[in-house]
Amino acid sequence: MMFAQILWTQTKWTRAMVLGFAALAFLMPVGGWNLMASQAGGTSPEGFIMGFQLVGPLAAFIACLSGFLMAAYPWSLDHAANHVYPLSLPITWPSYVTQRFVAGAILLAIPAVALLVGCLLALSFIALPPVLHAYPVGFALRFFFATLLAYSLSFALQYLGGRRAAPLLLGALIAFLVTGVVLQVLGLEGLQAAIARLFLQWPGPFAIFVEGWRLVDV
Amino acid sequence: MTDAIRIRDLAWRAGREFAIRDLSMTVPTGAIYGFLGPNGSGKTTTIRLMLGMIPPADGTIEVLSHAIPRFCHRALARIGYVPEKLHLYGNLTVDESIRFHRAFYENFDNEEAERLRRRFALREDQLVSRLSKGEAGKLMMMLALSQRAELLVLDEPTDGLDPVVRREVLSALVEYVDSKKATVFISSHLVHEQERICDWVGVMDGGRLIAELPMQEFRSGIKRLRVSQAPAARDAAPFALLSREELTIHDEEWVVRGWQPEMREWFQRAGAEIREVQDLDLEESFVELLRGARVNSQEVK
Repeated sequence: MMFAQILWTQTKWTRAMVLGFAALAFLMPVGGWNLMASQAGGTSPEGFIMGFQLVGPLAAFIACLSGFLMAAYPWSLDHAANHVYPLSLPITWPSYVTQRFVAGAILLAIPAVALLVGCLLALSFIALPPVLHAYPVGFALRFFFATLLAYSLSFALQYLGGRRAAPLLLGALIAFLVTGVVLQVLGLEGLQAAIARLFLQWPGPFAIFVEGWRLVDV
Repeated sequence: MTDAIRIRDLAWRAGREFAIRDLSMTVPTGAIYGFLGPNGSGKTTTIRLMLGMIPPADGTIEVLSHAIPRFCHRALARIGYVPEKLHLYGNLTVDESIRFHRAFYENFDNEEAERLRRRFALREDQLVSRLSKGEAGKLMMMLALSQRAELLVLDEPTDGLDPVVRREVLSALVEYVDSKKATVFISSHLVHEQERICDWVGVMDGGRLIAELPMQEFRSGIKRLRVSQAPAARDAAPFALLSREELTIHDEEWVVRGWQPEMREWFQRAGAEIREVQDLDLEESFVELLRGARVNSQEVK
């Protein structure tokens, strides 16, 4: 009952966002492949590959953005009243936060499903080698996990960091950039690149945003 | 019978400027407890501490026999809370807010909610963000009353409401208390409003509870005395001296708390004479209490 209401409010608050991202996710493969296929001279596997070169990074960006916004918006509504309402409900804070998190995570599946449907639809126009037939499912799953990671990070920062979340994030970013400049002055720029690799390359925690989106990653 | 709220040696601090200090308070079960104090005296902070929304630095809080903040969710299941400002989600309608709210309360009374919604003339499809201040106040009160709570904690529930809405809200509250025998903790700086409905009073100032007494005592126990040949010392006085002011060479004006007619003898023994005893209305009593507390705290400093 409680969770149903939390899910319902989450749906009401973010439905426009969810539908918008779902539409984008659906159109990405269809539009991307059509565009590339027409440039490559028909619905060919080459067009399909080129389409993915375009769609892949865009999908990573949309996953990141949707995850961040889907966590930030409901939080901002609670935050507007200093979280007085959830804190006054007869439910522990961890329980409330968990239910809010799960409700948002469920809704995140909608753009991923839309992406899968878009991929399958786009596939139906092209004669692909059998070995590539499973790719759309993997692509949609990757999109879902990337969205979930961005959502979890944003959610954790907002709910655990509270009003300090934005300054913390900004501070970390500035510290990273300043460190880069200092290291460059000291002739140690390789260290920053190593740190970036540590986070952005497999098995780094944010590798999913960077790697493996294109059909052929080189 | 246990107390509905029991706070001992509560302490809390926000930065260097504001602190709740050594706050001890007892709200008897079934009482309507008026929590008075000027703006910024710490009333809302005390309420938030009491409901487990912020953790205390020191001291103990028990609400409906539940230790706070550890078991605040258990206590909150039995408490109807109306905060100072609208806390509900602005992008839900009145009907959606009711549905959301009732999901969290086992004893939520749908029929009562519907009755109060009609009585308060709240439209079901109206967005909460579009409600006027009075309507928002009525919606929060309606939700709190529909929970069938044993304890109502109301933080300035009528502040900023027009007299008609204020009367509607207060009469719904009084009816509820009559029928449910609930305890009410009502914070306000509107002294006359408290006078009408409360049977206990606690007065906050500068983060301290400076007085806690039955309303009857508050109403009749604070007097302004015109004293002739007033004694310099007030050792062993049977009352609390809130303030004294020189009127003429011989006469002084004293404001005292806990006054009883037989206390004239104390003045006679000290060689003084009381020329006049004036009743203070509740607002004057409140102001004098605050003045006395501030003078005393400056003397201590």
